[in-house]
Amino acid sequence: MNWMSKPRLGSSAAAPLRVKKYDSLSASTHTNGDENLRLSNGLKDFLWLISDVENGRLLDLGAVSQATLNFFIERGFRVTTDDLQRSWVQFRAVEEEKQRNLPPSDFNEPLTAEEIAQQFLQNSLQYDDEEFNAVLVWDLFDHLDADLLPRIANRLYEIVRPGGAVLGIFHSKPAERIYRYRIVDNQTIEVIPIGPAKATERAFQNREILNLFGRFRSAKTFVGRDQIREGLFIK
Amino acid sequence: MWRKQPEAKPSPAIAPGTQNSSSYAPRVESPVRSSVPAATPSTPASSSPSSFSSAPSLSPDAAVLTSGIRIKGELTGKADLVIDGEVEGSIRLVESRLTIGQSGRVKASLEAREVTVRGSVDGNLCGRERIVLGSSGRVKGDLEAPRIAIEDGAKFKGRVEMGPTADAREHQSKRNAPVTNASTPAVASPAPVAAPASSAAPAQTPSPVSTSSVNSTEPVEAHTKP
Repeated sequence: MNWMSKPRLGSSAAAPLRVKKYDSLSASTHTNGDENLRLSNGLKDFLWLISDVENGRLLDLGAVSQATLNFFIERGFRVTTDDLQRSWVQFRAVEEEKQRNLPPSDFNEPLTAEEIAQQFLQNSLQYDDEEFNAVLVWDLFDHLDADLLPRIANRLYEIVRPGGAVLGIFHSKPAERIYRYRIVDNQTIEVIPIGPAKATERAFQNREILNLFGRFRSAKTFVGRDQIREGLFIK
Repeated sequence: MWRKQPEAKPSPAIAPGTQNSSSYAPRVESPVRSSVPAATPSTPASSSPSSFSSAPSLSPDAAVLTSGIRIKGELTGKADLVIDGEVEGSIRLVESRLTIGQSGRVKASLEAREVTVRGSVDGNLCGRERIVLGSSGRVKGDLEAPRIAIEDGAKFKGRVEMGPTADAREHQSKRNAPVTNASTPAVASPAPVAAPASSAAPAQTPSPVSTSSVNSTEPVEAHTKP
């Protein structure tokens, strides 16, 4: 993917800004038309970067969405979906249950957070190196434990092909809700609140994001009025 | 175990937003099946266009594998099948509809004309016509079908391939074979033009219940491994 030689995105492509009220606590958990739509310059750049990929492969690490699947399959991508946040929550719950059920003994020391993160990654993101042209991580990093973040970022770097792109969303303050993301069109994302946020939510500063994805060749962030940051990382 | 349904009743109207309503065909209640949990939720929570409101109804001859039954092995046949129990192995109903009910637990590779998942499946799914993942559906495996519909809330981990299934592609290649065979005696009539690959799949015919599904013009090349 020779993205360096691509012409710059035309400014004429900008669409009228849509309303974004999805972060309101009063927002319904159902889709409410335009209320949940968000203009995404990160998505726009992401799609531009992968626009010339033929028979590409895309990994969606968010909750499965038919709209997003259709969007990329219609563009010739083979899509793989892996709801990593849900997997992590389930894995951690199982591990915690195991720890609780351990008989009291001097030999049964509880696993550290780092060890749990290592175990999780032994069974997660098990894809071939450089398998994907593009990865959508959405706001996955907001919901993972700190020990897991650098490992996931490194693994993402490995499974993305050179020139491939990763698109992520990072909250600047702890999110009040958990959201599901769905691509509507080339620069619009539907953000659907699906439940209250958990205690593990985190907020990212720009430097933290850049450090996490330091191995990538290029990083670009977009900050919205709602202080939500979109990060686009190119290997 | 395998219980034939004596007759099909007309599908009751589903009010928008109604929860816990069944989208697949009404099943005749029987004492055996009284332990089966209430019908699965099927009405999509999302306002986005969806095909679930007119999910396929099962034929009157549909067989039901009730909860509490566990089968290990290979299931084949031509009748529609509803699984509310547990199955481990493989299921092949190439001409029929297969429904995994909300309490169904399947650890097998599935192949059917239409597959609807409202329970849990660990294995690859191949739908000759389409695959529907209900909001309560859990799938860990790859999906392959001309049309795939996924409700909000469905959990899925795996690869998705939409377009003609492998069988359809194979069928198409067989159809095209005589055209490319140099040893075939010459015929006065003009050689048939190779039809688009997608036309070989019977599922490519437009269906009113799949307006939100992926179009049928997905190129075959998109499904070949790079």
